[in-house]
Amino acid sequence: MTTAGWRWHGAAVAGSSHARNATPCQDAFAHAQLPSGELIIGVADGAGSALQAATGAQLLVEAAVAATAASLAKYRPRSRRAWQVVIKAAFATARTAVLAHAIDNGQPTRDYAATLVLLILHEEGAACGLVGDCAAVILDKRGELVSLCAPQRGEYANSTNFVIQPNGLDQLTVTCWEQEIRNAALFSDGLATLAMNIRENQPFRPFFEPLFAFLATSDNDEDKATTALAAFLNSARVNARTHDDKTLVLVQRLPS
Amino acid sequence: MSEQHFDLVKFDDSNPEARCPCILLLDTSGSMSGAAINELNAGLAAFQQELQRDDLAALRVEVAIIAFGDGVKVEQDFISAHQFMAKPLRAGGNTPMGTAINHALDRLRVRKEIYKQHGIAYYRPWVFLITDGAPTDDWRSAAQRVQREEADKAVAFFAVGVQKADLKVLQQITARQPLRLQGLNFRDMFVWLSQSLTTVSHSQVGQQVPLSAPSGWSVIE
Repeated sequence: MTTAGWRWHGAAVAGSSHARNATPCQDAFAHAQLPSGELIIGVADGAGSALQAATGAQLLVEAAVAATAASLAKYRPRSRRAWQVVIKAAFATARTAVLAHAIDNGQPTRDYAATLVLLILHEEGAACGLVGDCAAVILDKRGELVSLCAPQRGEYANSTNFVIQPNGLDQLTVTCWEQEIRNAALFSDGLATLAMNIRENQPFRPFFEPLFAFLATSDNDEDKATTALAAFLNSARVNARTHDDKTLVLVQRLPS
Repeated sequence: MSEQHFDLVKFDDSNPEARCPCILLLDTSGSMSGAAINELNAGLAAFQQELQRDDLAALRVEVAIIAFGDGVKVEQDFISAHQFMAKPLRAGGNTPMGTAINHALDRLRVRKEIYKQHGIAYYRPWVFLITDGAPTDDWRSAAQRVQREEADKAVAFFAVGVQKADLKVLQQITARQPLRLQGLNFRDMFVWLSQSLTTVSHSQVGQQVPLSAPSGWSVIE
């Protein structure tokens, strides 16, 4: 999709282990753009064990993106601390939406457990918020490739933080980047071991460069680009490395 | 738009495979000699075969075997499942279960430190205790330690009683319901264990793994 200033494409694909058990994809992504040009993108990853994870992820990411858009329509932060306030409020609103939905449906809130990464791209840089182990990677105009927030992991390989857990908002990390952004990529943890050195939180450049090149040559046929991206995420060589759901959203800044 | 770009995407090879450690804590006291030890050995061979049938489990599961009977002996230090070769055990001696439990928990602690030092992600370790008797050493402090470590989620501790094993003692050791093996059906028990470890080794972040019921090899008391 191309909007003023940005081109982006995204796809979410069920992991091969989910496909085997006929579980739906429990990842979700959403976006919003402000008339002033800021692009907001979120990716949420529903916990594999949570019964309503797909709904939880969808609700969470939509509410967080909408809340950020509403805040930014009123005021555009200029400092890291101000971004921290805006992003924390968006996570709080999203968390409330999920908890209220769980209560209305008489379901335990843990059934909606999901992680969330939120990225706001603006004229001078980016701001990112994370609870859990999704990731947001940016390429700035100097060529620096950075993972903005470190994925959060518990002691065990199968543990992380979720927005709906009792202290979920305390787990929020916010990072700001004050360099013009050329490209960005958001992804769920299903791609993490392929796309970055997790221990160092270091993106793997040979993973991202061809993807950004794909984006640069993609036209505005959104369906075609999404299909191509989904086919890559579902390819045998990706599935040989990960059995989890995987979501990838790629963003390019358009020359002004 | 060109899809060929996707063929150029390379994957990061620097992330080590996550590990799923499992200690088999096996009673090889004198009362196990004869049919019981033979069936246990056949079960271990089935365990090896089953684990190696699944590529990811073979990579991620790490097996260690500690036997207690004629003292406490590490029969197999932690080894990746794809390299694991089941060797026949011999029966003899008493049942120093308390010492063996402490030894297993110590080894797990060391193993976790090694994982951490190398930045290797790991799953919650499993200890699988199999016994046909009652402990002949001090087991109460070991039992307290198991309860404490289980409460801290440091370990998942399972216990299986064989034939006339004292399940009342096992109940005081593990917070989980101990099971009694049906006859000497070690084989089905080890197939179940391998399948459960395979499920865990395939699990994703945040996933509580629902294990299949231990049916076919255990009896409810």
